[in-house]
Amino acid sequence: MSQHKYIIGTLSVPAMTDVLWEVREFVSNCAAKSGFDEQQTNYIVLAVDEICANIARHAKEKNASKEIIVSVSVEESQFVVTIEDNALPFNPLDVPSPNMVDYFRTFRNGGLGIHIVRTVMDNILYTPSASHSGYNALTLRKRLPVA
Amino acid sequence: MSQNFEINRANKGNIDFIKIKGYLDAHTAQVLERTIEELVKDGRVKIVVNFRDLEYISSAGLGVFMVFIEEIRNGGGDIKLVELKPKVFTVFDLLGFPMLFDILQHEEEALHKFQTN
Repeated sequence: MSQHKYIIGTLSVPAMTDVLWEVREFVSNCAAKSGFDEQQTNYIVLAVDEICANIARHAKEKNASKEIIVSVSVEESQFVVTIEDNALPFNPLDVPSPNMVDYFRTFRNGGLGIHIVRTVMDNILYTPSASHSGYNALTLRKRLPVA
Repeated sequence: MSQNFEINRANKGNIDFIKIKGYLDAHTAQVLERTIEELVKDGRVKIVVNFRDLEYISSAGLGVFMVFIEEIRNGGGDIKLVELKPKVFTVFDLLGFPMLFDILQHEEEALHKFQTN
C-alpha cells in the first residue's frame, strides 16, 4: 500500500542549545501551516525543543561537528517531525515517566523533557544510529487537526 | 532574529522580585539559575518571579524552580510565580506544577502572602 508523504521542510543546525530558537521558529511555522491551532502548535514546538535540547546536552556542547537535522512532513493524516543527530546514541524513551505526585513530594529535578514529549505527541519512535546510516533518528507524530 | 532572555531584579525589604522576559529554554535557563542561586546564597528566600513578559518556557526553565524550592522552603521562604501568560501557564499545568508552586495573578497577592505568613 503506498503512503502519501508531503515534505514541508528541513532544517540543519549545530547540536548546541543556543540555536534552539531557530528550531522552534521553523517547527512553529510548519505546524501552523499544517492547520494546528496556537496551543497545539506550541505543544509541538515544545516537544521538538525538548528533544533537541537533550541531543545538545548529550553532544557535549560547543562541538560544532555534531548536528541536528529536523525534517517535517505530512504522511496520511499525520504531522511527522523526524529529528536526526550524529551525537552519541541516547534513547530518551529509556527515561521512565515520573509519577508527578512523588516527583513534587521528593523535590526531584530533571527528566521532565521526555515526559512532556510523551504527553503532547501521539507517537514517538527512536532508531539508534547503528541501524540508520550514522544518524540517530527520533520520529514524533501527531494527528492533523480535522479541517 | 534570535529569541533573547532578560532578567531584572528589585527588592522591597526582605522580598525579592525577579522579572523575566523573553524565552526561557535549555540555553537561557542557566542565567535564571545563577540569579536565584545568588539570592539563596545571600539568605534571601522570599522570591517573587514575574512572568508578564515571558513568551516561552521549556522543561529546563521549570527545572530551575525545582532546583531551589526545597532549600528555599526549608529556609522559611518561597518562590511565588505571578502574571503567567496562558501559553506559559499551560506548560506548568501540563506537568502538574500548580500542585507544588504558588501561582498567582499579581505581584500584590504574592507580597501580601509573604507579609501575612
